[in-house]
Amino acid sequence: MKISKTTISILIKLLLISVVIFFLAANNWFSDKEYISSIVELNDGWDIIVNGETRKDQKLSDIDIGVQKPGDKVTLFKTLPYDEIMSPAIYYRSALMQMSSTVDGGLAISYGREEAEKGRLIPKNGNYIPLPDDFAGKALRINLSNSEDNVMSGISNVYLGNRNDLSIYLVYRHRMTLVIGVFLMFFGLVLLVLSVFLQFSQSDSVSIIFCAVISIILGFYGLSFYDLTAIFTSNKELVTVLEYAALYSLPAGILGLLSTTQKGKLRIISIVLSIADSIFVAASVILNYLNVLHINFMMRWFYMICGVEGIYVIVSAVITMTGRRRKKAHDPAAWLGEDCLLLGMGIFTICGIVDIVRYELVKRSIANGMAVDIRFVTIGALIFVASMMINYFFHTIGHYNASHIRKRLMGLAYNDPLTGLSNRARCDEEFKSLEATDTNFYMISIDLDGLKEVNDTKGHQAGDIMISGFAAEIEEEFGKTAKLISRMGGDEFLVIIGDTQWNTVDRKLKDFEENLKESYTFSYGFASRAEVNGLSPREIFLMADSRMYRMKEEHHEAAGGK
Amino acid sequence: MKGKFVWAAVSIIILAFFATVFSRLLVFEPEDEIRVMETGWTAEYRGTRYQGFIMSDISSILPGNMVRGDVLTLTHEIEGTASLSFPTLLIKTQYCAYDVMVDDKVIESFGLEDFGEGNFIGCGFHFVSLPRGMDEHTLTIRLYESENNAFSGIYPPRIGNYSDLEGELMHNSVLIINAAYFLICFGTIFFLIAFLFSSATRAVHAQMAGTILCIHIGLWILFYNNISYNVIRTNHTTFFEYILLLLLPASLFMMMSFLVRGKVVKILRRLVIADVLLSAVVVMLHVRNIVHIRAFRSINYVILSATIIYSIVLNYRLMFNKSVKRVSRSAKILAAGLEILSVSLLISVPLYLFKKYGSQPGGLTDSIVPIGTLAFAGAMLLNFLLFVTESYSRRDEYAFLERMAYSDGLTMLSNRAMADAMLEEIDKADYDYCLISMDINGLKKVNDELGHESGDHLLTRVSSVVAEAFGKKGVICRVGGDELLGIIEDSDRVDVDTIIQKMTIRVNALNSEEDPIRYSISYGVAYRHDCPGEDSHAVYMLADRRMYEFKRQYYRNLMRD
Repeated sequence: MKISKTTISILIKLLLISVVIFFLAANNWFSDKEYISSIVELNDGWDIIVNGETRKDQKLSDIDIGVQKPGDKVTLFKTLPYDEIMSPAIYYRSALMQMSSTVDGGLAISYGREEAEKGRLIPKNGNYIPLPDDFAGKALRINLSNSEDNVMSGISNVYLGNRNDLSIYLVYRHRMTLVIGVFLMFFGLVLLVLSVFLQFSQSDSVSIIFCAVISIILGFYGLSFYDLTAIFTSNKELVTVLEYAALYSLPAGILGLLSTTQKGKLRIISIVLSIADSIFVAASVILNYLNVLHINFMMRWFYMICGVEGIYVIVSAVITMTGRRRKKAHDPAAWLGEDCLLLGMGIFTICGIVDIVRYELVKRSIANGMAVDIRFVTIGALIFVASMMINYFFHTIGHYNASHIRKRLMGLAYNDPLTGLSNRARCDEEFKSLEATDTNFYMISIDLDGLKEVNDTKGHQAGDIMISGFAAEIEEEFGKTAKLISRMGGDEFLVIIGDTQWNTVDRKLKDFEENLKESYTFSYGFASRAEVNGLSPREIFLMADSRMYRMKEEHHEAAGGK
Repeated sequence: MKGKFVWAAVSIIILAFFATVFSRLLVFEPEDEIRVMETGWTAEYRGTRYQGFIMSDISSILPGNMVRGDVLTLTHEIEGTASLSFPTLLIKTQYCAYDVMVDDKVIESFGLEDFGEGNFIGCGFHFVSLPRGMDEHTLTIRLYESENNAFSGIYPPRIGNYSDLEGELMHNSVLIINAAYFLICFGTIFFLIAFLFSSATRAVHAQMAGTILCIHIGLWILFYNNISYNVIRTNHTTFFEYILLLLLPASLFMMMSFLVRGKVVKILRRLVIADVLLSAVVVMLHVRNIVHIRAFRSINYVILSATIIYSIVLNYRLMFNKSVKRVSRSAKILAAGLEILSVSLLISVPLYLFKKYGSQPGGLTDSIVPIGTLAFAGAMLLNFLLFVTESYSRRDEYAFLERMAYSDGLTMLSNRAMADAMLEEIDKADYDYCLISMDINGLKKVNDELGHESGDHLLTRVSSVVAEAFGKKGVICRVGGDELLGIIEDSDRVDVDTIIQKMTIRVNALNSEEDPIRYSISYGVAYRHDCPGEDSHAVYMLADRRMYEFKRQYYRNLMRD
């Protein structure tokens, strides 16, 4: 029976997982839809003029134009290759730069002139340059002019293809980031909605707010970095500002989350740093909208903040984790979950630092800043969110395990290990609850005779067997009617039964004595609540106990008289 | 309580902030005009020409139902496209192949090969690139119907700049598309994590079935609304849509089977298998091109409706079931989520059946299921969070119970269970431990002669004195009625003799003239090194024997007195 059950559960599991794998893989198995025309990445054969200096026949990915200063101008030339493309277009993503493009001398598009003239931030933009149908052999010219300080170096990739194809290709390429980014944002929003309710039902749900905010920030940053936000919005300026704001507010969110897991001085440091970071973000956004300093200008400050606080986050996470290890944990699963969360956070922070270092290295030395992706941060974000989930699952399991432990502990706490009957502690509980009621009940005190002799002559083992055997007899006789059967001490038992006739109890005990005559001798006494008014259960117990002693003495006398 | 309001207010403020930002973000401003071509069409169908109709209402003017092989030709005079940098025609087709012609020159065709071979052709949006800089021209769209009785209207074609057309489509369906992405990703991540823990508890199974339902409906939303094209590159979206619809009862039954208990579970599991088998047969027939999957639409809707109604009734019962034992809180939350989802599905089935193709996806009709499923995902998340925080609050309770479990109620010493656990533990260690077996002299006699109350008094007083003498250097357990066991783990570092001396002196000091009880204790000490190569049990037995020796000596002395 058991085997077949596990087999079925394994089969169900396999079925379920194959369904999921099917849908995951379906993505590739069924990618049978073809593009209308081919999509070509134009990387080779560019001529480039940087501030009047001309370089011939360059690869775009190799071009280093250095760090750009305001007023710097870059011009790219290329003769377009032959290709049969319907409704052809060139895609070029400009980053905070003014851009214009001509094909065979005729102006194709112009972007960012108005903003540049007003001295405002020029948003990042994916530009589609329309080409004539007979574009082959014509000269493409892209003019870039910078008005920002410390803007990204390097040139973005240039693609040639059908307008429709290009648009789909650029999204399809990053579909994982798209789905993950949207997930993170929605996840954060749903968490925020739930957190309002959770504040009232749970003791500690502040950390959920931080998780929610971090999730939204990470999701948005991933989407805007790959220009995937452009699918849903035409408000480019807001996207660009939010992209920077999202990046800048990450440290504030992470430190806030960290502070909820900390105690004492570390917690205060985290809160202070988090507030300082929030002020930094607010200041950056306000300064940008006042057109005093563009938001990208704050990037170098942001790197500094990241460097300092990144180290702080890792160190304090390690301190918290090792500090906890030393203490004894009652609920190891829950601690494990929390550690896992901290670890996820640590990994994410490390990924962020790795990316920033990589980015800086690439920017300063190698070239092609635009081509740098945020692969590490995306992975880090997923690990981070996954660690939040695993944290939850550890907790859920901890919860279920704990309720099982609780049941077991209840058993241990209130049961006598030898006989399996209730113990004295359970009996005290029962006394308390009986006190609260006003119905009648009977207490029967039973004392097994001759345990001491058996213990002394045949050893404790034999004594234990005798006790458990006798307990089993009591259980069988009173198990169905009794409210409680308890082993009070070495050889003393207590049975509590509900309201009945005095004679019924008496007869029952006499029968019990008669039945066991061959195997056990015992003394008993019983008392009921109805006998005397206003006695506490304990006093009724003592009354039953003293009656039992009277019987015991009779036994002794009878034995002595022999 | 005050802090709770503050943090709830913080949550609401943050929500309001993001809502404001996103509402400013999710705007759509077309660069150029989008021409929606509702009127001005000329239709040619079965040799008759029709004019002066509204495009979204075309099905009402055409005689009879369209059958497979019917051809509908639509023509329209269009103004020039010179103002557009990427002039594009956006059409939506249902179960038909098409030719798009400008001045009788075919500029794009779709599905003609499949149409010729009698293969299944699904539904979808098509962006057709038009020649740039056209003057006035005649646009002709020729539709080749590939299914019987499937024609229910035409989504009005529109001409505009490519980015505007795509932007409008995406903008209108922003909720649907993002809800679908979320559900798929949420479901996948949750499923994989839950799968790792699937053997742990039953509640995780319910959570897992929920994740499958999320992925299932998420994918269905994408395929149904034909908005999957930039994440899933396939021509078979409609085929997948129908498979998912066929399997939806199975997913729902599976979810329900984890919420209920008893005989119903078996029935529900059988229904899951039945639905999967039915779907497999249908898919087989479709793939073999014997019967197209669309032909099973009505059966599918009947089964689905029955399932949904059953689900509504069942979940209603679960939600308002007062017995906590039969329906856990966790199951109730999930049932509430599933109830919202089921109601949203029930409302949507008739809406989908009688839907006309006059509008873009994203209206209220199309948003009901995504919102219902989001609510379900929310319920799963809530379930998730409730148990996280609950485990925090229970921690203290467990600590208390643990203390209870390993201590003796009367003397507050450790109990026999603790002694057994410790004896096992010290066996594994490598230090020279010391066991002291103790027996309270005359307890039985006091119990018998002076009553249990006096016996308890003797026991508790001696126990507390012994515990005091040992302090933190050892653990005292009450292993039997009058038996105590002292365990000193690392006896090299502890002066055992002094402890024992202290203990005897203090126990003897309890005696006084007025007190009829005589307080005394017998003990026997044994070290690990006394029994080389043997386990703690042997050491304990040795200590016990020495204790009995001591006791015999004690009584002998007593007799002599």
